[in-house]
Amino acid sequence: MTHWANEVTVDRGDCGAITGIQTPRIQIHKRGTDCGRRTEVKLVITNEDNRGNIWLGETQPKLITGRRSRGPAMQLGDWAIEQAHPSPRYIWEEVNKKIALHKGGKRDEELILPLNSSLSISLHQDQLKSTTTAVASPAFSEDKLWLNGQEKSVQESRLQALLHEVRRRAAKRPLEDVQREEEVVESVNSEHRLAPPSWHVHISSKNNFPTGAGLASSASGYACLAFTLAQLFGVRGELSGIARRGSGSACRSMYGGVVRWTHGEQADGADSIAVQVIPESYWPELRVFILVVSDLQKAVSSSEGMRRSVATSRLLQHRATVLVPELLRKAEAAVKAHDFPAFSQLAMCDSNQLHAICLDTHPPIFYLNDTSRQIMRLVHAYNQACAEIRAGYTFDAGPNAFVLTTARDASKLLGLIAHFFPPQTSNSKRYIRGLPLTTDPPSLELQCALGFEPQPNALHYILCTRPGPGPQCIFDNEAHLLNIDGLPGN
Amino acid sequence: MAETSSVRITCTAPVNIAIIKYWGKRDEELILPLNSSLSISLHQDQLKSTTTAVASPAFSEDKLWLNGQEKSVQESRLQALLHEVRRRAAKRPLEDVQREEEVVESVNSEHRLAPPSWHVHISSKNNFPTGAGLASSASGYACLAFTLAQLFGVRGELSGIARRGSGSACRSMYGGVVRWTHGEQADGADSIAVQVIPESYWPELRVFILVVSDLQKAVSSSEGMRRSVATSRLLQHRATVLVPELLRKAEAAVKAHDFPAFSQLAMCDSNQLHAICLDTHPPIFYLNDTSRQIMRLVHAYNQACAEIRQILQYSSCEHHISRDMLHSHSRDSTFDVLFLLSQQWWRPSISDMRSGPSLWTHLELLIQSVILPCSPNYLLMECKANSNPGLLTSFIHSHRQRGS
Repeated sequence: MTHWANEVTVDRGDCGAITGIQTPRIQIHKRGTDCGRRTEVKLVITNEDNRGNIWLGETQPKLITGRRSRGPAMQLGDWAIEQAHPSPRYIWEEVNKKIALHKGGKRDEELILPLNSSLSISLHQDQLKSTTTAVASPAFSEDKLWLNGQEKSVQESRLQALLHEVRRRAAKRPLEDVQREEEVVESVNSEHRLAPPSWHVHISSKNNFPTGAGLASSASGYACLAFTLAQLFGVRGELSGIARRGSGSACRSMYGGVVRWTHGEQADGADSIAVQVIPESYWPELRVFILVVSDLQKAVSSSEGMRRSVATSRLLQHRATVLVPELLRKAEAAVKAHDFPAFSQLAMCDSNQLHAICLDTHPPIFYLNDTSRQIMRLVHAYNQACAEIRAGYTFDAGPNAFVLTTARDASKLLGLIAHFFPPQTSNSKRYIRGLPLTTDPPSLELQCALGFEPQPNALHYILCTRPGPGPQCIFDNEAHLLNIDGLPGN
Repeated sequence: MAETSSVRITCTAPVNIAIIKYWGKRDEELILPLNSSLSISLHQDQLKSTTTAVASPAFSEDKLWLNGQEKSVQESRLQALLHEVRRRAAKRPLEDVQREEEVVESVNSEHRLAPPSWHVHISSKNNFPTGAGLASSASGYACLAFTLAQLFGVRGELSGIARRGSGSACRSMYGGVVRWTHGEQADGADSIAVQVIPESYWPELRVFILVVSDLQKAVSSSEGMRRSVATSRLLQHRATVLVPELLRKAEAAVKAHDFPAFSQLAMCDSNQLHAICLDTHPPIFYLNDTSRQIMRLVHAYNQACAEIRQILQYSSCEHHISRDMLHSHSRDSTFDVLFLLSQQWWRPSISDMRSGPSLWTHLELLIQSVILPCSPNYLLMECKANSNPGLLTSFIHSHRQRGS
């Protein structure tokens, strides 16, 4: 073990065996701000022979906080990283996996372990879904990936982490055992055989909603990928932990209905998994309207935003340790009791607290814009006019509003939204999409009670949906995104 | 001593802007805060309230004019302030105070004292537009408290009187940087303002108030505070755990003339206040899109300054910094900033820039981040000696044009 200033320890483990080099040199690359209070540290593993500093690989930068402790000066690398020679893939994976930074009890960037538990609603796939086709073949020489028709590199670290994890789990079980189980289970599709995890895969994924509309396609995308590969390689049992390696919120997309992602206690993240709180059939009256907001400002990515908040927001720690456990408990109780007013209020308060934390971050992060706030005012004014909570909202890391309501109020609320946020005249046909709902135009007195002016062109469109089921296998031949040779096309 | 003639006093008081914010009361009537706060009193050449008070035995009732318009004196906070100043004045026999006055040299021969039983006519006005969100209640109540104290001969600790009118008014009772201690006593006797540094201690500080166009009517701060106290779980944590340390650091930074630390604390505390407003139910929004643009500009500017320092520290060439050189070191939003700065500052000669830390201090002192959401659309700026007045104007102007 090597000890460093800033309380970073590095477990060398058996990295010699992993990297194939007797004693690889581990450099710390440090990039600090604010007199060392916030420091990004990453390890760079190089060939000991030092032939022009050939890299073997590097870990993801880790943000650590804390005063510089007295001790031997840390070895500093350059600020700007030179061009690196790409490492052989398997060594890179091993490096990422085995040489981890251990620091106190903080939650983990590499394993994607959260500071607090969270609760979500899985939306119906008739309106929003990711579809993934995976083809495995002994004939393929490497993994390939297509996203929405475009070929992309598979070398992205989170994708690699997910691929690695699903293969690791598949390799734990002898293929013959799994095959035997498969024969016992009735197989609908005769093509559904299992592939050994050593085969390479070609993957194609697409969404039935526009990307870049801020509709969180990474959650559905990674969940779909994890589920698809698990079917392909015969991984059974708890699967949300695999999806979590791609994107935190993806683990919640492994179930339908209302889902909780438990934050877990273990350092290896084995207990940081998703569980279903209620299936979608339990509360069929819930409705969710997604108001896609026009926004010119490029938002900070949620992983970068989270990192900044963890590093700089003093309110975040308090929220995560003291406030969220109780909020979660109340939210689950409200869901089980079909208590819409309580559920909705908790959703609104938690959404606002999240954005409060973003504002308490340094530099501050703004996800809500003026239209988002107008939508919030509309919901509050509507509830006030009804003298009861009939609508709620929640916002993620972007300006889009997810407005919550029940079937009873859906048409009225939709009419209200369409009145105060009318479309530009040219695209009014595709303005309200999704569930076929009528829009009840608001009465004059309701319009006056709300007391603000219609804002045309504030929204791109409105998507109406409801809670829906978890991942499914599709057996329709027309739906495949890759042909049997693993190339785009059917 | 004339018995029947009236006594007239005129005083002025400053506006103050909080750096560590006051948000939330523990006592609504006495106006006692949840946490201590720190502010800068701004120069009266630009912003002040002026109050004239006339006391006379001939008056049958108190009267009030605000910016020329007669107003009712029956407002509860005004009454509380009037009552408090009279109560303190009544504690001392008038003759004793008069005797002290004769010893002290009186500049104005008219400066006699009035017994607190006399009614007063008060007229107050501001040299800045009201309703522009420029916190005129702080300067107004402070001025009133100070003026009446002079009139009735109340000496000693006066900020507690101003506090009865409006919490932040107590901080306007001193110049420079002022702390309003939250106090422990239930009667609020120790919830008073003290001066941390006088204005002469740190003369290089500048404050630009950017008055933003805003159509939305804002929630009043007393109402907003009340809502936050009732519904924000983060507020309690802030008030009890976070603010004491922030305050300590801010005061240390001020005493050490440490502008970067002071400025960062100011920005973080302002953002935390608005975070609390968002954590309130229903949420309160004071910042609008323009306010946020200004915040982005300040962050981009600070980033640019840091990057320029880095460039000059590591570059070895002696000639004029070219656009390309800057470009390779910049990121998108700061590039325009860097280029603009290079036009204004680096054309003279690079050797000037190498001459030491003074130039950097100049640059970093140029922008202070003070954001107030207000109504009319003009830019109120004050740029005193030692800096290039054109720089900031053109800087802000070019950013606005670019829409970045």
